[in-house]
Amino acid sequence: MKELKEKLTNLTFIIPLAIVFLLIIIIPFIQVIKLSFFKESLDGSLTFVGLRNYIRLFQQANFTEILFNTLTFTFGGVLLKVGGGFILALILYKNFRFKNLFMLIVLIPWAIPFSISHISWRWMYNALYGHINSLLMHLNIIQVPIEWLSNPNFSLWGVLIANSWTGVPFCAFAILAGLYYIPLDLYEAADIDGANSLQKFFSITLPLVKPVLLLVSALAAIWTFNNFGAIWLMTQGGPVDSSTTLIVNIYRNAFEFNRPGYASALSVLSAIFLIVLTSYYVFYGRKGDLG
Amino acid sequence: MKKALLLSIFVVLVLSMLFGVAFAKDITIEYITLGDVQMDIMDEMVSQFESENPGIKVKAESWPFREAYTKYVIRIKAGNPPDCGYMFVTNLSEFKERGAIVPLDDYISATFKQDFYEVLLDRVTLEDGKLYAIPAWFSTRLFMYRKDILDEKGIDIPKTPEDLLNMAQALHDPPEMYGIAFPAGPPRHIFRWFGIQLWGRGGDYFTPDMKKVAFNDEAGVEALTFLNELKEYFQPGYLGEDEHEVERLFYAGLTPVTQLYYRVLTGATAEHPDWDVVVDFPPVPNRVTLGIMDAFSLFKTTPERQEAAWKWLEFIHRNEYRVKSNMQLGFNPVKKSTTFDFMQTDFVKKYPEIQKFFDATPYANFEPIHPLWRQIQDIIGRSIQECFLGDLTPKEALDAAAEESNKLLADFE
Repeated sequence: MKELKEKLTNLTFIIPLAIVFLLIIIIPFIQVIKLSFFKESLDGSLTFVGLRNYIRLFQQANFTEILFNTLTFTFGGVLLKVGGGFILALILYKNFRFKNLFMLIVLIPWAIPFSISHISWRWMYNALYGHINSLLMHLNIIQVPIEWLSNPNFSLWGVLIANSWTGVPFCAFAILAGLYYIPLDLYEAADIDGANSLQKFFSITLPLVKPVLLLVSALAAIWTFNNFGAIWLMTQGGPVDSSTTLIVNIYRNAFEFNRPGYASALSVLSAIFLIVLTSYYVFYGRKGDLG
Repeated sequence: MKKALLLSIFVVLVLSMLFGVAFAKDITIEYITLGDVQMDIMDEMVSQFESENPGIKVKAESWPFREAYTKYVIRIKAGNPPDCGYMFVTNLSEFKERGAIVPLDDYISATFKQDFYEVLLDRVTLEDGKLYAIPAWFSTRLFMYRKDILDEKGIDIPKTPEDLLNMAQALHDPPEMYGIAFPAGPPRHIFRWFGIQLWGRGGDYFTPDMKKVAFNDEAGVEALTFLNELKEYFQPGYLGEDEHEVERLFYAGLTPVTQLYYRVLTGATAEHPDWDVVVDFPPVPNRVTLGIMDAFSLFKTTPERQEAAWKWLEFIHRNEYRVKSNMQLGFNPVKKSTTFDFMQTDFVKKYPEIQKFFDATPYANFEPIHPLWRQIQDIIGRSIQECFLGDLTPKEALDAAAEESNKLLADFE
């Protein structure tokens, strides 16, 4: 009886959160799923269309390209953010002169407001006035300006580089925290055994920091996948669809073309992708890999 | 003492009842402008209006142009639209279908209506013959040439597409000068520049019944073939740039020609008094210009609120405010009386070429009004980009865009 009472008391503590969760996550999500089976007319009325929005989605001429862009943007983002963050964390782990100043500098990209940093990058990429072309031309590396963001082969990577620049500091500091958790005696024991730096890295550092790396990778993947602002501020998904991802496509269909049903179908597809990513995180978490 | 206290309480009660009644009568209308248009004189207008119309308060807000459509739709769907606002004419039929805006025929007086240019009133009169908005802002787009540069090279003002191509080729000298600057980034700007070439060759975006698209006919292909040749002389990065960047290039003296509104003429001449900027119709076979017009509409609320909002819309159309704002924004007047007042100003004497923009009104072609236009515009824009990238020939690009657009239109029917 006492145990039941305790359980009920505990339950009352989570009820407020459960209500909020229901109101702002579950109900809207169900609404989106429902809307994905409807078509909205101009007068706002809804007509049931079954799976038509989903069929259209796969029939869309540029759908494969958009899907490919989404995967490139997401996994490229993870690679750059976590890879860059890991390198920075390893540098910051060492003691050196002006380390605090260096840490402060590393934090700057994260501290700059998102829109300002991305608009600044857009200007830096500008073919005519941009600093990047200007530098390359001064160094005589190029003779004619490179069209960075208006080149369909580079536009997505251009946005990705800018976005990763802002995301690296978070990853660096999260991984650095993980590095500080590794007991120093392990390195001392390895030194006594005559292990070199590479051996210590692969046998101690990497295995012990792996849970943090997996966690940071999962977060970076989710954040990058959901990132709309970076692309919209820099290329608006162009030229053609070279930098359009699922999220940008959802925005355009929902708000620019007023096709809520179709945009909902796209949202459901995105949610499935994110659920797969999150499941991976939960699965490894259960196995103990995520600490 | 007691009497005095009772009297004071009585006076306070009576006064508060009186004011209470007065406050209860007050209507606060919400007015939306876009892109900060007239926000510089908004306080002045609001206080004058409120002093002339006791009981009506105005809450004015500005939304960015890009977000306007989305914000209006969200507010309409939420059942909480503003009382009146500045909006794109292309959204009118959709908002009418949604039952969000009201016809203005019962509000507008004959004198006020007659003052507007007929071509503009036609744009805001929908298929049921009712007036759903009043013209707000209007501009015509003409070509502006740096005649001083052309004279230096002995080049005449282009009169044909070939002349323009030759001029661009002769003056293209990167990075000092680009033959012509083109905004091939946002589809909404591509359509404007392609549109002039299309209309100028007798083509159009839609068939007259609006059931199919028509931009892939001979005129369309010829227009895009011409632009595709001209692209050799565009500025670098043109596939990611919009009209604002094109405007900046003209101001910076990096291009000898542009196709924009008269603010660019006045701005560039004011900034560079030594420049000789000459205005002319686009060098295309037919005499055409692009007209861009926005409107003011009244949203469906309550009869009292609608009445109050209409008073405000009438008020902000006063010439004293319009002339000032037109000058500043580079827009043509939408009323005959405003044009008359405008022509008396020193501004027009200083920049006589402005007259050409006003005279171009009868030749204006406008953005099509169709609920799917934004999507179709996007499809056209992407196809033109693909053509510029060399992935498709002009014909292939326009045929592909037409096929996709017609599918949408068939589904819409």
